[in-house]
Amino acid sequence: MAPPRGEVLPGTLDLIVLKTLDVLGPLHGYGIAVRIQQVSEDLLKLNQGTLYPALLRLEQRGWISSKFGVSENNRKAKFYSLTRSGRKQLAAEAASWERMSALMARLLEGVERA
Amino acid sequence: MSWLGMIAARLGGFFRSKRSEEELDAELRAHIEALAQKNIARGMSTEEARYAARREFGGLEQTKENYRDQRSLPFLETLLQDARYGIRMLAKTPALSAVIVAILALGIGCGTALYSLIDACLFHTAEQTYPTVQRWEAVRAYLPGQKRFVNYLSVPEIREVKELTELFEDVGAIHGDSFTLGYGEFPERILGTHVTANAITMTHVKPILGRTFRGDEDRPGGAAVVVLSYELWQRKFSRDPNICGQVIRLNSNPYTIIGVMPAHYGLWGGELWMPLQLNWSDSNRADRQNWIVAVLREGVSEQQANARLQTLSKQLEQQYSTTLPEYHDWNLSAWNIEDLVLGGVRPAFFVLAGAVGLLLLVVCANVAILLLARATSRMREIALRAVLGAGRSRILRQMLTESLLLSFAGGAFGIVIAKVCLPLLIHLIPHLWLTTEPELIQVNHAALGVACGIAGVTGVLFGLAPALQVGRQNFAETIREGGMKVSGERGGRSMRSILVVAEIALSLVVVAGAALMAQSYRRMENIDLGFRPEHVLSFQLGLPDTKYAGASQIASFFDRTVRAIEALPGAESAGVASGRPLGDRTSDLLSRDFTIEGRTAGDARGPENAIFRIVSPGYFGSMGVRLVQGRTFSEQDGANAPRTAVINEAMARQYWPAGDAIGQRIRLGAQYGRREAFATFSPDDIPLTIVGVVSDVKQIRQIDAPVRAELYVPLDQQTNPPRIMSAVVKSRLEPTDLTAAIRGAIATIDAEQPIYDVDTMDQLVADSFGPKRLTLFLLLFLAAVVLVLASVGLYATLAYSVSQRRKEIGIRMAVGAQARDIRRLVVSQGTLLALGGVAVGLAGSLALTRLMQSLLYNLSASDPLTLLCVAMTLVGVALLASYVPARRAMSVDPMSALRSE
Repeated sequence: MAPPRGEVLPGTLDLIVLKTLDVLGPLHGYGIAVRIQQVSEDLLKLNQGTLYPALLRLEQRGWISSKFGVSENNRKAKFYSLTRSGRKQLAAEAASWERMSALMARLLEGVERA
Repeated sequence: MSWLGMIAARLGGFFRSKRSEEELDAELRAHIEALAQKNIARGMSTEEARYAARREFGGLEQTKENYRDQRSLPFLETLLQDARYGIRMLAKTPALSAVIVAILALGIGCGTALYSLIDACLFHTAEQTYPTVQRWEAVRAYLPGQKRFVNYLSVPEIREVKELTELFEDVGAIHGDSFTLGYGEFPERILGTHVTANAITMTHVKPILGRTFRGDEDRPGGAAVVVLSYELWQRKFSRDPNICGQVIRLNSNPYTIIGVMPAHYGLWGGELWMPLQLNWSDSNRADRQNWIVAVLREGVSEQQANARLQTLSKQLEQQYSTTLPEYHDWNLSAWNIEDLVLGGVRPAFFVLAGAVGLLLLVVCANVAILLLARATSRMREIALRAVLGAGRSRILRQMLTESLLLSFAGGAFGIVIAKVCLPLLIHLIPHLWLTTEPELIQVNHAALGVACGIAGVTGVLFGLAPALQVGRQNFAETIREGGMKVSGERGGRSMRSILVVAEIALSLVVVAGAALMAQSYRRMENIDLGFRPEHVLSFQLGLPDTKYAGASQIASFFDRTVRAIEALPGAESAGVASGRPLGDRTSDLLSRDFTIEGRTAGDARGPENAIFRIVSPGYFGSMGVRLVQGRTFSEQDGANAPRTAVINEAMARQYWPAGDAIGQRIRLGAQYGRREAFATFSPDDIPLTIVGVVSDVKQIRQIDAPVRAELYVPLDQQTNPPRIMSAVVKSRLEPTDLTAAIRGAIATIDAEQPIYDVDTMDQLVADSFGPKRLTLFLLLFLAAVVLVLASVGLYATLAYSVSQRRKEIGIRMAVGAQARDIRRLVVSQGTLLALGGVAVGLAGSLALTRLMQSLLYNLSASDPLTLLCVAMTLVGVALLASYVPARRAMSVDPMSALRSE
């Protein structure tokens, strides 16, 4: 049986998007969606539409910026890229996520041993 | 990024929405297209690929909606939608909406303009500039024998007050003076004040240029230096920054300018200050030439100061009253500078402020009535929206938006009205009665805020009231009944009735105030002035002591002046006097003690005292003073002729009730009053014979003040004639047409001699009505506005009631009611409301108008006739306001009224 597809944890979509842009550089919405699907090996159930309000939110916060460019198949598309403060935010959020996941791991380890 | 930046971004999104909407659409479409391409590449059919792509993407419209919510402020969007809808709804009843906005604007605008004026004159005259102004005092003496205050005191008395260091931070002396300033094109008369050096420093106000006086400058023989007011510096010296050190000539003497005070520092009066070179060792107690000014210590109340000053008065009385009879029972007291400036106008302003408050209340009641009527008539629409699924909060918000729109429009127009009204009001008021400079009177933003706030809150409260009932309603019922009978209606009607009654009551109070003022004014206008002001021009002349040293020079100047003026074509006669009727304040009036030959000198109250006026023979005729008995002065009362005097009727009645005043002899004693009128003071002991009795001429600037005993003496017989005299000219022409000719005539005698305070006596009479006329004018204005508002309120209520009762009226007519029955139905409803309002209002008036008793001349504040007239006026207006709706009720066509249901 295929493993159940997980919902995107609240608040993590921002981190995922920021990390994606950090790794791949400027990317359009479709590219980000494809990348997320690839990395998660389809384990993440993502309505791709939800990506757009999230992108807008990140842009409003100044963590990413957008400008129009030409996509691989020669179409006009909006490219998103990480800003300086976005990079900082990514570092901070990644650190806090690591702390949290380490904590969760230790907690769950204890549960398994008991 | 802060939340503020977020909001900014969202606001940006809100305003850019159209363009970014297209962009979003393109972006999302591209995304779905790409997904579909991928699916086709995997081998799906085009149809299938599209479908799968949509599924993968999620709801397109939902995404857009989420995106939009994220992009802008959904609240703002609904608000705009509400506002657009609100404007449409308001436009559906344009007359009603316009009336509500107009009432709000009128109330806010007029109220604010009036209040700004009152506030500028009453509350903020000086505080802004001088932090310690509440503690600035003048010290004056009350002489019970003369029933008046004396402001000028002697050096020993000043010293004694100065020793009360536990009361006062500092004590100084001042006196006003006037100078001829020889600078610029023509000589100008300038008012100035002689001050001890500390009189300026104790106010803690620093000069903006140079310095104020040093301790060595206010001693006899000190330097001739002068400090300018900002206004004089601006007007005459074009704000020259290097003015200090420059020498100007005042009364032909050189003075060095050493400083300039900040703008609006008009303290102690005048446009310039020079050191009062006081000889502190002077011991002559009868030589009273200066005001005492002081700053109270912090924490010392005026009562404490007065108690201590009273003790001092008693000590001095015990010590000196045998030689100085004026010390008998006298009493020194502190007089706050603000009282000094505002004393006369304060009650008027309080009454006006109260009336403005009432106006605002009437406005609120009116708006409430109209909003309630408007909202109840919309019950059906509200119910329909509720049934169709609008949430209660959504409906509330809609009603709120509409109310706010009305309030906002009212406020906006109100601001415009306030801005337009205020300069008009200032223009209409004689500047003499403004206790502040006109340019300092600005629309008071706090008052504007309060007025808008009150009006806004009323709008919101009464706009919401009907919407709040929505939750409790049976909508289906409401809709079926065609919105004609709603469960809130009974409550709404009684609420409106209460508001109408309250409104009529409030209006009655304001109208009663105005009517009392008008009645009192009418009585004042009929006061016998004792002279004929028509066609009389008057002006002042002040001779510098440098040029006119002796009595003969002064007398000859005035004599030549009178002759020169009388020679002008158009001039009938002329004369001079040491003061003009209605021209002075009580404290500035000259008065003299006197004794009557053959009677004991004075009584327990101190010596006899009468107002004292030095006149030329032509004065009585030119001024139109009536001769009652004997004769007035003529050429025969010259310097070497036997001394003579003329008295007024009040004096004759008081001292010679049998009518035998003529031929009696009196001797003059100490003199009081305006200092600068006399070069020096020296009592003389030659008795005067009374040769005539004349009518009682109003003496002081306050027209309703009683006339005191007055004594006239001829100018030619004075050893120390005053240098400042008022000239009066009886003219055959329009009196002001003579001004230029008079200036020319005087220039031929002395080209350097300015004339000033040129007024017609009619003008002086009008000015003496000043604060009362102003109050009357403003109150009448308020009363008119309030009356209009009250009738609008009553009209709206009745008109609304008629429209609600159309069906009932139709039935009544169908079963045989006549048109006049219907009219009676409506009019009696209106009359009932009016009578209720009038009853409450009369009670309120009796309570409130008592507060304005001090403004009324010879009239009780509860004058029954006036109040009856006011009540009848209101009932009359109410009947008029009922008549129009009654007409409409009469014209109801029973068939159509019944069919429309």
